[in-house]
Amino acid sequence: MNAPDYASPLVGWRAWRILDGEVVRLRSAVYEAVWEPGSPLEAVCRAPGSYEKHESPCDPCPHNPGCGIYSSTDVQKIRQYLLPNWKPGGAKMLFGLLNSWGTVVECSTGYRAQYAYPRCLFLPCDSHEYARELEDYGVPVECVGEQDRFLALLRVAREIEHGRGSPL
Amino acid sequence: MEIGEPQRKITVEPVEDPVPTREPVEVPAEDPDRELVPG
Repeated sequence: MNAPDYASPLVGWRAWRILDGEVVRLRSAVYEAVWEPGSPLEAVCRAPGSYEKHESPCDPCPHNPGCGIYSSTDVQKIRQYLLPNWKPGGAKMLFGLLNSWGTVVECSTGYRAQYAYPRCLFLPCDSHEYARELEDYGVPVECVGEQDRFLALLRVAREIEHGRGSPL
Repeated sequence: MEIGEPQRKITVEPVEDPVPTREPVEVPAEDPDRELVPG
């Protein structure tokens, strides 16, 4: 039995869509995976014919891009999801930090993980009505406006740098 | 999401569960002898 490489989750940035149905839930920005409160999301390889043949994330993965639950160590990478939507009337998006564990493919600017769960969530102020329901996830939920968004990011980045988890 | 080129495959086994456990809410037991106060 091999010893694990890390004994605390790897931490990266991620964007989600807000699924506004009977209950409010997080949904992956690209795929239709719904993140349930209290349970980690487990990765599934979506390469054709690959289901149940191997554990995700596989490396190399026959799927392009590779399978796994993505997070980025560079907060700038999630701008492409957020900026077009971070305005009144845009798609309901939010971002936050993600804990990743299990088998993980470490990439140059992020991770593809087997298991993941949100670590904290940042909501645009115009979506503040979702804050209470997102507390179902049991992690800090903070509303941030355009002006104080970067202050919030800096504060969290500093917390991670001095706390547990991998450095950003 | 662009996360760059794969570097290596690793195993991460957190000592603490990364999924927060919710504290059970204590519901006070119903007292059959309590006096009903009109409200």
